[in-house]
Amino acid sequence: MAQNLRTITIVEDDLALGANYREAFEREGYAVTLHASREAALSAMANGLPDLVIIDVNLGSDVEGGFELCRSLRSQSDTLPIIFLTARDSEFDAISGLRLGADDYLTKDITLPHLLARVAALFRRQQVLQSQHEQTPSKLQRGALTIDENSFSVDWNAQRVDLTLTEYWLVYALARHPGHVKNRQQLMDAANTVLDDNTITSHIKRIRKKFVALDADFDEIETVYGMGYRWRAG
Amino acid sequence: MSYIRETETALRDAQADFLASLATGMAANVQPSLADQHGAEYVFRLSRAPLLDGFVDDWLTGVAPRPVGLGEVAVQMQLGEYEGGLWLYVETAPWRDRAVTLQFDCTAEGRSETDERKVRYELTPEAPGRFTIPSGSYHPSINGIWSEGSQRNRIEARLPLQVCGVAFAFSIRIVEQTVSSAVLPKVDTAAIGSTPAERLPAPARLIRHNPQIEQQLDRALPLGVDRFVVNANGWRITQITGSRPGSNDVRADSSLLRALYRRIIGDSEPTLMIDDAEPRITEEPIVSALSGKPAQSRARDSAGRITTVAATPLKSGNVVTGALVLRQDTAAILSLNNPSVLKLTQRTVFVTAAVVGLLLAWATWISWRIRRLARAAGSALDSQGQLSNALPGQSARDEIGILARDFSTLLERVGEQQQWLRSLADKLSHELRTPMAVVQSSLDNLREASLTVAQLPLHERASSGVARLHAILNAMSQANRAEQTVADAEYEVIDLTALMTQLTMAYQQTFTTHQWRSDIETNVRVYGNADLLVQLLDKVVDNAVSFSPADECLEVQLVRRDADGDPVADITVTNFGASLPPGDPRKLFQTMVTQRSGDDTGTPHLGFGLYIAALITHAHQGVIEARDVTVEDRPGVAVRIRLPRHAAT
Repeated sequence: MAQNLRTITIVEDDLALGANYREAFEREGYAVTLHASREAALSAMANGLPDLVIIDVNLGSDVEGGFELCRSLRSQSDTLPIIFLTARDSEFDAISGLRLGADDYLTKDITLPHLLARVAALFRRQQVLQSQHEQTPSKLQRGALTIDENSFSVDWNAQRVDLTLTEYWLVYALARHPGHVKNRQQLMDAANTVLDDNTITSHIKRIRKKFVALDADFDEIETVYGMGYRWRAG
Repeated sequence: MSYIRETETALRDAQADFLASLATGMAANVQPSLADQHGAEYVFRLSRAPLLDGFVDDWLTGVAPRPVGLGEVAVQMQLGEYEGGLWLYVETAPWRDRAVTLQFDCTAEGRSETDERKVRYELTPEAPGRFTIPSGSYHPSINGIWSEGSQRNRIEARLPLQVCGVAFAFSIRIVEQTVSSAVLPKVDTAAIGSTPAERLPAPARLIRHNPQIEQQLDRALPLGVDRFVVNANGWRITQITGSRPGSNDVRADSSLLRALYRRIIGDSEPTLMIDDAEPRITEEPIVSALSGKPAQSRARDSAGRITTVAATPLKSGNVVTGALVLRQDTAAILSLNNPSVLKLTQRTVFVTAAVVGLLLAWATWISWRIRRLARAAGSALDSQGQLSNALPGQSARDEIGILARDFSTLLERVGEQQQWLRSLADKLSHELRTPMAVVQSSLDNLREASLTVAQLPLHERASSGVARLHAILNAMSQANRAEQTVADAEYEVIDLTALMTQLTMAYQQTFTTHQWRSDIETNVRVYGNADLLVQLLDKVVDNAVSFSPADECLEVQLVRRDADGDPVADITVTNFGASLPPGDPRKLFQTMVTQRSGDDTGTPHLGFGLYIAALITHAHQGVIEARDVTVEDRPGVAVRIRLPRHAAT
């Protein structure tokens, strides 16, 4: 990956944490720019957008600064991958962030290896989306469900289901072995993230809603009380 | 009231004064005769002629015969007069099988006191029955009857008053019958007034009604004034009852009301009572009058009327020869008879009662409001410290309204405080998360750098410490997030049987260190959120498992019940081998309360598990409680969750 020399901008008001992230990403061969405030980040990015942005929601006294920044960046580019990294873990914040067009929403509990893996996966998806036609798609077909493992995209009845990366991993983990119950820990591992039970539940809920929005009869993700979830077999 | 009382007192005093002056005025014209002074035996004035039948009932004197006499035989006697006849009634112990001689000694009026004529009648009746004692040629005879009873012998006789009007003695002599028929007279028993003539001279002088005084008293007097004259010894020698027109009507219709009014105006009833039937009066004010001083007082008569009595002495020179007594019913002047006063009193009583009633109602209303407020304030904060509902009566403008508003403000502040405390953990975890992330990422970076072999274990330890801190932070914010989740949850009808069955199977696979027993009733539905219910059971089971030693039994039960008529579903999770800590078991369900003494697993326990369980239960309108149980002599703890059942089941 080092030869790609992709650029990452980190907007984090905690300089020590930001420096740690920068160090880790630089070790992986990324070029990292670190900003402590929304204004600084915006003025720096006015000259050109990086390949990926990691934003802390709470930027010092600018409590919702991360959301604001996300909004303005999204207005500049539809494809720029944006990851929210935050100490907040409430569902409400996650929904707000994702609604603003962030590609993922991670809490600061995440370990550096996990974070690096997520960023790498996002870049991969980015790359695949950009050069989709060149690739031989590696697809997974489960009834009306189609998963493109290269582009990390999911289709239901040939309609694109707009999933975040975390949601994609969850669907992928469930649909790969229909009928097999995946417990929460397995799902967490699949999504490369540390989430508590509640968050898994709300992710599943949101995934169901996204599918139901396309197909009112969607009922493929089954809850097995006390165990976890499974993709309905057959 | 005091006005009525004063009026009443004034009228009563006026009445007493009036009676007293009337008595004084009349006393000058009344003079008891000398004969009236010396009497010893009272003669009742009879209202009609009694039947000669041996019974005294028809005399209607109202007084029982008086015990008299000396000697061994108890004797009761009464005398009465009616139209020229002197009636004698005698009751003695029986003299069965003994012959008696009845002896009547009569003294008639003569031209002077020394000229009194004495006559003696004697009879030795052979058997009980009627008798007639014929006398000498010019004396009227005596008719009588002797009836013998098992307890008493009775003699009733009519004597001629013209012969016996001044003094009278009656004696019974028992004649002992010996074997030889010789009859020896023997004075044996009591005589009336005196023993027989041979021994004691004067028969008892009679106290008789004095018709002359009656004439003197018989003048126009105000209505309802009773007059009577007593002799120096208090014996009644004249009695005229005043007419009482009309006054009875007033009394009859409202005696109860009157008694009430009397009580209200503080009018006590007199304790003094003058009995009309008693021949001798020994009460005030007569006693006072007989000692020479006019006096008045209030007294009850034998009909129960409250009267004013005025007595004034009758004097012959300096000697008191008797007393004139005037008596009038106070009802005649009672101001309550005055219609306007009566009306005033009635209105006063009515208004007072109405005001008292209103005050009472008002006080009741106020106390009800205060009680309601107190009750609401007492239960305003639920066991989770949340303000459950608004206090009643806050819109009222009075002091209780102010109190309710103040209370409400206070409770709101307490609620806010509680809210803040509860969110503190969440805030704290949030604030700690960034520095934690710094440590975490620093450690991660450090690991990528070249660490010496000696540094590696140190890095390991630091990493595990951070991991534990992460877990603690998650647990801390979990409670608050659970509250949010509960608040946002969507509810639907859930097949609790299926849910519990799946869960129990899952638990059996997860916690293989324990034995599992389950008893789940079919077709139980509740209205709720499945995810929350799963979480609830997870928490309770997790708690049960952690308190139960390995290989112990865990029991999961689902039963349908009716609690006070409402259909409910009871979920019970029982673990054996442990019991509840001392203290209020409800505290277990409060946040930050843990019953664990030490932490041997490395997993943080902040008491959130049961708190979240309680939170979810309450969100489902349920009740959660823990109690000690003993099944087959094994102690255990049962946590019961009672949820309202869905109506269809």
